Amino acid sequence: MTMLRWILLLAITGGLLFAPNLLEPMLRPLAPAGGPVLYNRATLSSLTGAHLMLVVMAMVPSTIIGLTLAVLVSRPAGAEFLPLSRTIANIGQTFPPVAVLALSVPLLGFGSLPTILALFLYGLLPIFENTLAGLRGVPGAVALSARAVGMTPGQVLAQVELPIAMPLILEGIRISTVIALSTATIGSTVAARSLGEVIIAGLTSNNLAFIVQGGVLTGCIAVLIYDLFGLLIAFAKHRAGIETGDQL
Amino acid sequence: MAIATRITRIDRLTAVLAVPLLAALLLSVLSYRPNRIAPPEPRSLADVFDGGTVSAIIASAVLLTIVLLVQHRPAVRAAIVGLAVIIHVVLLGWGAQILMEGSAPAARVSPGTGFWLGFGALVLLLLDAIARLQPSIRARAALLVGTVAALAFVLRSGLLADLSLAAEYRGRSDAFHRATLDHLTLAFGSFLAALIIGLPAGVLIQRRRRLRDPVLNLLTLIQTIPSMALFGVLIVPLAWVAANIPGAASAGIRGIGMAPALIALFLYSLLPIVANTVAGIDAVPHNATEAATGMGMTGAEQLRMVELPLAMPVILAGGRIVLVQNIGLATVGALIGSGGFGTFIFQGIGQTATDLILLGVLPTVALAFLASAIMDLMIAMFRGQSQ
Amino acid sequence: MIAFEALTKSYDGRNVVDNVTASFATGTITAVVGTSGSGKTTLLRMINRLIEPTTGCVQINGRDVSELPEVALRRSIGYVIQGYGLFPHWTAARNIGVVPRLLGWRTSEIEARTAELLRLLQLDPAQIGPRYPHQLSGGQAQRIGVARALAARPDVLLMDEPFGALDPVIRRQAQRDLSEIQHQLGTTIILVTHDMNEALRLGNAIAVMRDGRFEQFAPPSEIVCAPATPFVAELVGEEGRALRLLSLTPVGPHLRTGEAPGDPVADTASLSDALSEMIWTGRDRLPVADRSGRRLGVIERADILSAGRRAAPV
Repeated sequence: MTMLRWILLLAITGGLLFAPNLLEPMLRPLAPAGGPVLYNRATLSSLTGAHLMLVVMAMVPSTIIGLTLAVLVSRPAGAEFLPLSRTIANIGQTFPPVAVLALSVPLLGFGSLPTILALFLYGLLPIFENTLAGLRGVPGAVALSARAVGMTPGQVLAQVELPIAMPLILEGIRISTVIALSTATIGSTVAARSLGEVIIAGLTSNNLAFIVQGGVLTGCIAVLIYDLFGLLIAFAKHRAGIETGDQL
Repeated sequence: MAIATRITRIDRLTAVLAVPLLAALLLSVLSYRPNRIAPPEPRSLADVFDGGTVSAIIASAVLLTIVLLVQHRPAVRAAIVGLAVIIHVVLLGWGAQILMEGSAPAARVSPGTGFWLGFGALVLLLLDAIARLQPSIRARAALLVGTVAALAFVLRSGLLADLSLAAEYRGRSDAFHRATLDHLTLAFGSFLAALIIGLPAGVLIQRRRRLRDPVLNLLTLIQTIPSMALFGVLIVPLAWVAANIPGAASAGIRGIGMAPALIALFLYSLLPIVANTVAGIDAVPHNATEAATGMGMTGAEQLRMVELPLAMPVILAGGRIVLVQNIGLATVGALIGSGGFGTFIFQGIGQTATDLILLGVLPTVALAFLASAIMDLMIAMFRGQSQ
Repeated sequence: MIAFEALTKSYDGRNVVDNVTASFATGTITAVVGTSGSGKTTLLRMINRLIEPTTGCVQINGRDVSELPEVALRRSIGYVIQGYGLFPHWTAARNIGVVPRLLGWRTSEIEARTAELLRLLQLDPAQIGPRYPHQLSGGQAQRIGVARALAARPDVLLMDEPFGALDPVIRRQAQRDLSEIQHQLGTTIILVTHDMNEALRLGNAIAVMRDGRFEQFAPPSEIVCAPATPFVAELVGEEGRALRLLSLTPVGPHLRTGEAPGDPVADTASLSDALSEMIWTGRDRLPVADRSGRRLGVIERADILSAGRRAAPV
């Protein structure tokens, strides 16, 4: 079942990226009479590259900063900032990603930059929240033992807390990444290069073939990346000594 | 340690937020444009108000900072900061009025960096004070009603009528009301449909273990698809239906417009509702269901009288996720012609008109925030906790 | 030797540990007994500085612990808690080896020590060593917790309700094992428990704690025979006091010369064991033998009964 899903996703993604001509006959009925069937203003592979680049450029700093902030407020010295930071994370997530994107434009103009800023800002919240949940989920007896055997605070964090919190941290990065993949699509409305461009082109020229190409490709890539994180999380759970199988 | 507790402890959050709060006084508090498309010119406090008022504002800001540095009681802090927020907004309206008085009707005034910075710092301080206060359910409800009433009062009073945002609204009040209606239809219509289908589906797969994984996997897969992709791809079958099924087109079904957006939002809503129904019923204590069976309840009675009430907080938490998510995603529907606040956002992006973007963003955010606050209250009420 | 000097810990002005001065002899087990909230856990944690005292100090072998680097101090003291706090992401062997690893032992030394401890606690190193905590039974996890605390050969072992999560049968076995190991290694153990029976069974000395103070600090027989306060008396319990006293006293000191028929009892057995044997087999006197089976003498029923009688009021 899982195998079949992987094969199907890889086949569709590969086909759209590297052999679009094979799919032309299937898409032709959707294109307007006489109009182009395959998106021709850029190759889908270059757009996919640009799309993924937006996400990576945002997710790397999101992860570093979100994780660091969560670690800081979970230390005794940062405890004073804990209630507020949780409220902000909670309220911040009621902010729609599109709103963050739209408000980045007046600040940074058009292009990739406002998109990356929006993806970065929105990505912080799930990573922060999940890291915090992961760190707080370390059983009290385990955290106490780590101190009692004589670990330094740095050793407690690196050897005990982070490995145990890792599955939840990765879950947070997965949520952020999936949202970023989706918001990057909308980024093409502020002139960032992404796969959204294909869908927008289809909408403006009333070309359903374009919409299907762009939509199916973004969908497949998102699901592939989601599944990839799933493997990573299963591995981290195993490493964290969490019984897998009855979970998830 | 012992010494630190004896001398007055300084509030660290205030120490950090004092920087933006005081810096805001030096930055441009308002921005002025001779007309809608002219580049904005910054206006400082001294540009807007007379000397005496400026001194009073600076003095109160400094005083506020000092009081907050040493005052730790959350209730007092919340009251002081709440008052400061109100004064801040009043000053915004008053300043805009002063700037507009000597200008042509086409001129535009918007809040500047300084206003937003100060407003942000104050809101954070207020949220922190409320979070530390841990208000009861009643107090939270009162707070919510009070905030909504205050907001409505400010908007109706004409206090902010001189702001550019208000001018944008006046030029589009009909379109705005239509967008509001469309947005509510999209967000709540899809939510209701998902509730009607998702709740029974959740109960069903909670009882049929074999169905559980395939259904939840499918719904997770749908959630993963980027919104614009799903909205777009749904156009294809709907366009076919509109063209080939008699009567469909006259019933309002078209390839683009409301229909694909509603369906996409409905599909996105299913996972949180179904998954939380399953998780909620799963979490019902075993002895409660056993006792129910033991006293002779039928399966349906057990569901209605024991399982669903106990699972309700978790199911409502799913509802909260759905509402917040739908209100946000409904903006994307504007790209396929479904209407809603997204219309203003994307128009505003196209014209690089910040005020028009805000006209779409602010009501969306306010709606999402209101929905989540109400759902949070309902969840707390069902939990029967007073926090 | 561990000593407390006017040790006090207060939270929000309330003294959780209130001016405790006491000392514990090297190589003995001291049981600290009290109800929850009596301050016994706080007291224990001030020894390895998981909690810092408000005033007063803890000394180990004459050195004030607050002058020692806290990380080094903790690595030199074993600590076992209820629930054991095993690191879920590490195997049993890696859990046991954590302190030696922190101390920078060579890998081969760590492996040898881990295997040695597993065998000491009657666990098969090849079988149990590679398991993760969630794959261990309660009894196994408890023993891994003890092994981890003993890994770097500490002179002092602190135990906070170490048997609290075990079912009664396994608990008795674990308590016997602990006595055995303590005899073998000569470790100084301070054990916190709410269970007076456990304290009486294991402790060479017992401190009864209430509201942050020691109500009584005495050998077990004195706790049973002469409770210092009504609270101590209530903890010991009115019922079965005589039998409890008998169970604390070994046969050895009450021997008479002579001979008796039938199976002998061991000289390390308690008087209550001997009495029970008499009742069961219908005898009035039993032969007593040492570990090697050599006959030492007899024990008389009348002597047992008088040993269990309340001491004459002074």
